[in-house]
Amino acid sequence: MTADRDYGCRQALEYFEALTGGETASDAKAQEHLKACSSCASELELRSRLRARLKAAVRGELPMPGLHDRVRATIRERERAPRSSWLPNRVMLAAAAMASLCIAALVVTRSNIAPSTLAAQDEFIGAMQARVAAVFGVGLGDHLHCSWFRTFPSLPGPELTSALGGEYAPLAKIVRDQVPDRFRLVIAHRCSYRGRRFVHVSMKDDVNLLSLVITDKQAGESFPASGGTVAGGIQLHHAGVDRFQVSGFETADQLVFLVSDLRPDENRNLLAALAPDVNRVLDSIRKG
Amino acid sequence: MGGPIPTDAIIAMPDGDEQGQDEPACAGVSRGPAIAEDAGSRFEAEALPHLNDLYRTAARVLGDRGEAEDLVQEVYLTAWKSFHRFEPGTNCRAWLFKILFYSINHHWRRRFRFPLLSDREPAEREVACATPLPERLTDEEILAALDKAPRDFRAVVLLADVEEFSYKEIAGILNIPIGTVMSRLSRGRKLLREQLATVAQSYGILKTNNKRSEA
Repeated sequence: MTADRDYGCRQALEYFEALTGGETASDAKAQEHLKACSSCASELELRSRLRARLKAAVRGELPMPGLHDRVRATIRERERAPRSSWLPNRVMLAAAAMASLCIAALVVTRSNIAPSTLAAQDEFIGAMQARVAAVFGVGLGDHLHCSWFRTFPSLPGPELTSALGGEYAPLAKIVRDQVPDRFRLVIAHRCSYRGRRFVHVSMKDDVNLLSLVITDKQAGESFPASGGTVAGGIQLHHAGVDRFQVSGFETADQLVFLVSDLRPDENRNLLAALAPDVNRVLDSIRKG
Repeated sequence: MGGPIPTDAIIAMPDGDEQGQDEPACAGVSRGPAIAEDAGSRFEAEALPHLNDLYRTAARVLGDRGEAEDLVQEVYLTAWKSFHRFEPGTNCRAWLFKILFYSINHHWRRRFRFPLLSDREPAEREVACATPLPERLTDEEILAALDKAPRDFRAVVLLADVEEFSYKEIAGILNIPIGTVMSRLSRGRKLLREQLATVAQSYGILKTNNKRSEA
């Protein structure tokens, strides 16, 4: 095939693909091409057969026999008693709330297991940083210094996000939107640690603490060139030490970290979900 | 394929203590027993025929039949709660699928499992391997190949090629631009063919991984 013919094939195949999705107007050239090009005709025929086989395979999977009846019964139950049926749930919720309080009272707080003096805290941070590649230690250090050793007020004030500054303020919402509702915002500010400035958003629930940490790159600072995962076109990198997980990505001039005591896959996936929106905010700040 | 998706019919989705919140009927519309019975019959007639479609899509996207059954029940409960806003004549099936994918995303978020779970997003590349004759592959092999595609791509392939929604409907269901639907579908189909070729090679149906098939 010549280059022109290849181009014509691609165009024709794209047209017929779009046609199956109802997204294109009639294209006489593509129709003409199809009549003349046996390669495209057989390719389209193969695609059509593949779709038919896929459809048959997936549609062959049926739910367990009782599902229709269970759904129907649930709907009819709700028809008969649309309000009162919620009562057991409210009772259960109240019981669950009480149970949570009891469990929370038994949970060992971070302050009980963390070093108590500033010198001991710095030593702890240094020891943790030394066990990951230097670039990961940047985000880990700020998370430990600023969030992990801190006792948070039970009800943070509404002014919390104002400490982020206008251009970074959307970050708090971006994080809020991606974490389960049990997490609450405990830090949204700009801070510095060991002479380096950070933008820092932290959220916690009864068990876990997580931080989105952003800082300007310093000379030669970068994540390893190989490894990591790609999500939404953004290369993500990961490291872990003890209970701490550090995932990160970089822009032209900034490093972005998610540091937490979540499971490794949870931390990685949370950053994967956050990265496109965080990237967008940083990009818009960069462009002014 | 049906009418437009009544997007405003989706109300607050199941969420933590949401089950203690008012049902849609309480948002100014009182549903008396006779009306409720009529609405129930109408709901069953309009929505229940799509149960198998919702289930098989949920099962393939979630990769777990038990979770899929639970989720489908949740979808129907949510749909019933906002059914008073549903306009007869609009596309009930697409509306149910929109609720399904909203629920799937919510389900992942609750469990810290996000749609972007793949360890390595597949690189954009031309399909360099031959595709085996579809008729020579079993259902299990085809489903196994589909399951290997990342969820975002798998979802679009399922909605387009199995459920036969238009691009516009898929964009509404997944709340993404039509251009994204088209690019994910294109990549998803390529990935599926690559996986099928791999399966075929492993079973000796294809002898090479280049441009010729045995047939």
